[in-house]
Amino acid sequence: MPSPRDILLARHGAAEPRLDVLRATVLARVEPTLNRRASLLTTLRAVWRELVVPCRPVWMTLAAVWAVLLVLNGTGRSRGEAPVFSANEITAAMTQWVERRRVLAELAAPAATPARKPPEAGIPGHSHLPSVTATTRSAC
Amino acid sequence: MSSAPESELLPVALARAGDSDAWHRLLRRYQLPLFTFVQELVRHEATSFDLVQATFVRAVRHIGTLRDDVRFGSWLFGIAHQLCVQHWRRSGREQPLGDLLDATPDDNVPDPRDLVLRAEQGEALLALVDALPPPQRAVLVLHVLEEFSLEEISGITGAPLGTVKSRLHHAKRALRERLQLNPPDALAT
Repeated sequence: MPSPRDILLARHGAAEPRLDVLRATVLARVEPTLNRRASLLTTLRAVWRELVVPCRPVWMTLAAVWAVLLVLNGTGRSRGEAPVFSANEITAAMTQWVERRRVLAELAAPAATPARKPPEAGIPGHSHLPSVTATTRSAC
Repeated sequence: MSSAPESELLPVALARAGDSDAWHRLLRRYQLPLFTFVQELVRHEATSFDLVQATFVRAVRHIGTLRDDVRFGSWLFGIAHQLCVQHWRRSGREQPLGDLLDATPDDNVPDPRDLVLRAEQGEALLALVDALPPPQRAVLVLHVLEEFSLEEISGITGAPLGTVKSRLHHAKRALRERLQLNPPDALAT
């Protein structure tokens, strides 16, 4: 006796040949997508086969070295914890720093604007000109 | 017949990797049940072929979204159901809601598969199935065709589990009533 599934399928069984054609058409249309997907996976497999599998000891050694480095790095970090300061210490440090800057600014100020030397008496051009002016005033 | 062991044998992983032969095998396995399901819902042959074709294309393109290879069947039927609903919306028909009474399933109601097996004339029973409202028909066809669990049918149709139970219950009761009113022998003559 046919099962209910068989009865239902038999009702539409005539569509099977057309469904075969439809399936073939659809898969032919999406073939590029399938090929792309397959080629990517093939490439990955080839890389694994050619690069990783033959040099397995080398990769394992490298992995072990990396693991050791990671462990060492982790332990180093846990040892060198950042120091914790109190608010008073921070304020004192800030005050000290401001004071140092002020002192530095004071020390740097004279060097930045050097004082002009007064002109010496015996330099030509400077001593004659005022005397000439004085002479003309007296003549008038 | 349990679908899970068979699904494990299906080359879903190969198909996922882009193997063309695997796709041929997979789609050959589901093409007729899928067409039957769509045709029972849409009742228009050309449209059913179009929807099956669209289901195939979507399946190939979106195989990456399938989480569990064992659930390939319900995933495929889910795509087909979604396309049927879209077709109904496009063609201006509202999505058939049927009667969504929250009746609890009655264990005393005979299983429709048993009813079919007892019937001498399968075609007469199919005519009775045709008279069911589409939502109940969809649940019943999925239940009978691929023996999907209630949870799987809920996932395929997007309906809550309680609604699926209710629809199946109503479908079974309607079938029983119709069989009592019109015995298969009487229909055959």
